[in-house]
Amino acid sequence: MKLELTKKQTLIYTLISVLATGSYLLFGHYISIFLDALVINSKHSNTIVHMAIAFILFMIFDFIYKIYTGRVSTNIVSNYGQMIIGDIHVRSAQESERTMNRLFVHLDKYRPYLTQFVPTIINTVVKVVMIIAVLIYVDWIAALILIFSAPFIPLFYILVGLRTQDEAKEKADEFDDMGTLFLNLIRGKKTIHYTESEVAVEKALDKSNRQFLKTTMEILKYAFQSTMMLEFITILGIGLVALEVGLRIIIFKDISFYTAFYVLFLSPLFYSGLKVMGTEFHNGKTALAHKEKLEEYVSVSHEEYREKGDRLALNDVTITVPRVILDDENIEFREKGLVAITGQSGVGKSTLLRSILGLHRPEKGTITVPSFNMDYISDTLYLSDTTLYEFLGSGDEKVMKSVLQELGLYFSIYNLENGIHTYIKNNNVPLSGGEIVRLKLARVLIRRPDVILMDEPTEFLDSRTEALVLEKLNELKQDTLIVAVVHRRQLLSYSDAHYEYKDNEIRRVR
Amino acid sequence: MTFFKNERSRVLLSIVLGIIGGLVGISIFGLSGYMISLSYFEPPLFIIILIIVVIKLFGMVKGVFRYFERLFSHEATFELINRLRSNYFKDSIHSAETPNHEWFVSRLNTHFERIEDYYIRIIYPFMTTAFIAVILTLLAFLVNVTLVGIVLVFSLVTLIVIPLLFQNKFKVLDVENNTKLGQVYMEMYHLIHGYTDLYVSNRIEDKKHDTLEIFKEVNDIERKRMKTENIMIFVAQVFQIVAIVLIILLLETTHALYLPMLILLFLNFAEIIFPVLRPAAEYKNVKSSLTEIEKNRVQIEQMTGHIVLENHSFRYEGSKRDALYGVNFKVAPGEKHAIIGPSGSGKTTLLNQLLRTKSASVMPQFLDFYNATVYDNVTMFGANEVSEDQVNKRLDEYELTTVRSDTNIYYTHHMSTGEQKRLQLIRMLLEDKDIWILDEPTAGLSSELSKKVWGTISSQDTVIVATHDLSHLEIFDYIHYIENGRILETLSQKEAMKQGTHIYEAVQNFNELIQTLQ
Repeated sequence: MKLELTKKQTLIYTLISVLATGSYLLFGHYISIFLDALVINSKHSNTIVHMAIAFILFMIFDFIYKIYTGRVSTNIVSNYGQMIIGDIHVRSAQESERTMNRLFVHLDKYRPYLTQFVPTIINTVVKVVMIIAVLIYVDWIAALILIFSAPFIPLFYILVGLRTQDEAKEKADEFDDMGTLFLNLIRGKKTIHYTESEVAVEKALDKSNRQFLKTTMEILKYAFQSTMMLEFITILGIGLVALEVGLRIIIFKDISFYTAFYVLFLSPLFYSGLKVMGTEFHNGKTALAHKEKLEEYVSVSHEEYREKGDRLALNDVTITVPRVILDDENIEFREKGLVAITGQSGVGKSTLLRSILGLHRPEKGTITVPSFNMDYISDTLYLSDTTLYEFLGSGDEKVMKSVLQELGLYFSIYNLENGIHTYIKNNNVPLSGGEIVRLKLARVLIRRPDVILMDEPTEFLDSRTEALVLEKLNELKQDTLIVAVVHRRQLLSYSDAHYEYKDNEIRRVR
Repeated sequence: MTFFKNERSRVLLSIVLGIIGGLVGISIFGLSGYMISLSYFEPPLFIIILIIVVIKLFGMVKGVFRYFERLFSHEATFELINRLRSNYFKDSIHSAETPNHEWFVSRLNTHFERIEDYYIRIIYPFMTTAFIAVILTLLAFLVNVTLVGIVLVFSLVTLIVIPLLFQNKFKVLDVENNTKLGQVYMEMYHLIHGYTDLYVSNRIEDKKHDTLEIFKEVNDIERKRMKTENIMIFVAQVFQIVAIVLIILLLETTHALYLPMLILLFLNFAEIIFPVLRPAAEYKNVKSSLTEIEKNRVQIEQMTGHIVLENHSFRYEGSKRDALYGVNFKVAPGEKHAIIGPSGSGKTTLLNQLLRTKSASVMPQFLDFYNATVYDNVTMFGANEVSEDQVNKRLDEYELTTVRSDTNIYYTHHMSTGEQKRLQLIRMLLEDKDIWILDEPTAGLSSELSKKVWGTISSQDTVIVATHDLSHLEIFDYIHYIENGRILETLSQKEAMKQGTHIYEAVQNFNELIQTLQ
């Protein structure tokens, strides 16, 4: 179990713990002195003031400790958040649920490890060590009793803990499964409705719930039993200490009231410390299981891998997804014009476009690009959390207006309540399919990138949109390089070069 | 407590056990304090031994009580949660409401966890502690009224006044947390699904930065919560030390011998109280989770039993234009209909409207698969009885050789579109209904598999398909051409293939597709 702290932080944690525990031990010390004077000599002493001051000091240090550890652990959690958000890449959409779970489930369940487990463990270790040190000085026999009974607790935990650990992990998995099933049944209730399988599904869910209850209770039984055993060991220790104290007072008459009370003040503290370590150990293990899940994720480097060159070119490029889709390819594309790429579906055309775009690092080789100013017209559109104005590049609205007019979009966009500043939420685009295609085209016309990559839609467009798209592409190719995955002969006939993508190779046809 | 039915007795039992356990625990400390006071006044040794034996017995008893208390309370709570979960599911499935907001659905499990918390972390410990406080206050009468006053005031302040004072702060933090968390969720969603576009327009780093900033705010709310809890404990500790000093000053002349016992008792009592401070202050917040998952049943509208739409218009909520306009659509038993048209023309919307008219086997645009085995998925958890072998045979038939009937599917997007479509087809075959309604059944399939799927579809009785794969239009009796929400043409097979119709043009356009020629 790693603490995840820097040396300096560990030191500060320890230091504040020492101060807090020290104050509390002083508090006990003064109470004992006070009571000694009162019970034995019936005298009121001023140590009550010291006692109060020591307690207040304890309160303050304890508070500072919690605030400081809270701040440190929050920063560490933020760093994990940064890692998870930073890791998002173009293919995250394919496993969006997992990506979301990393942030919203696993990091959330790992948080207590940093906010609770680590501070508690450091604080408790300090406490236990300091109590033993003080006890050796005050009453070494009691200290010996504590030292000898203490190993039973970790030993016990190792024996029981090993078993619980595995089962806890199993339970976490099962819980995930049940939770996922429940959620995706709720999400997929339409299908349940269509298939009229409500009764069967309800039964299945009940069964999975019952199964989960059974395993949970079995594991909890272990955990509770182990707490019970701990309680027994604790009481055995405290009882022994009480016996020792009692015998020394009555028979040997060799300890003061002060010592007796202080020993009885300290020994429960000692055991509660050990117990806390025990329970935290369990919690820590569960949290760590989530850390594992958090980290089982292959992060993708976001570094720029493309090089600047005169032409768009692939040099000995191998692309994998992870199966090889392009093997050791060398191509130099033309400077301007429309380059058409055709090929069967699934051959890797779209991945190739993403590689050129800078979103999919080739396994081997280099890609040179004439300019980093590229745009991509995909065959799908996800629009959200943006206004149409932002989507079109947040430029001069006049230019936008004229382009929208050219594409016959002016009326449908400016007829919206907020016109071009309409805010799109949840992909709820107030435009028809053909209009969305034209909107994407509008962005290219406004932004005028040096290279345009595009996936031709496989579904046909209404004739007006189709004609407009062809016309505009023809215009654009005069001074821009367009690399398009082409599905139709009509667009192919407009192309200046034609490559066929087949069997991990790209061959020039024309 | 109103939620508990069968679990009620166990809940009560666990609270009683908790109270006894707590009292026994506190008395152990009191006894040991009393023992040393006594020791100095030369008592017979056997009394000391007796006290120690009692301490040990109490300790054992406390351990055993605590064990059963936790066992009963956890079991009862989990049973309760399971029942709430099932009820929620039943309500949700029988309501016509469109699936909830994605964020709400993914928070559902958290809601149930909070309910669990509500009982295990708030209700039981608080009730137990409150009862212990009452009993201790009563026991204080054995000493004197001053002590009663101190214990009573301390209990009231820590268990009621302080939580009430901080309740609002927690509420504010909770509300803020929920809004911010929702924001992070949406930001993440956009980041993941709009990645390419954000990247192309050079906004990806800004977006990641913004998302992280909101996440940091959420994260900081958690820190503020802990801080608030710590302030609460700090305030309670002030009362604790004041109470200790008061006990000493007010009782030192009259009850000197009892003081060691009382102080140890009191210190231990405070230890029991501190952990319930925050739960008590959060009581109301968590309780609202309970109501949040309760929902009203909206009855599903009755189906007419006939696949007929007459002059039907439809507009999506919040939209300014009709998605369907003046549509007439009629299907007689045994007929096969195809709906074609450009992308975004309203094909899917039309199918969804037809679905509301009659029970049918359906292949919707977005398919649902569940975290269960293939067998459970295709038979809908046994709703359609069929043997594992038969399922495997079907899988082979549609070339789904990488999965078997007992393979677990984790979630829908675990499979490619083509695989999903084929599994859905098997699901529909097992359903064995007369009417099939399908949306893009061949998307993502190779031409050979497409052919097979079209073959399966053509052998059904009554069929309605929306498709842009126009390679097998010959199996349909009628073809409808839809554009911008209007049905522009409804033609029989023969009429449709005449030059000059929209459908003819669409087919020409489709044949242009280079892929299908290869």
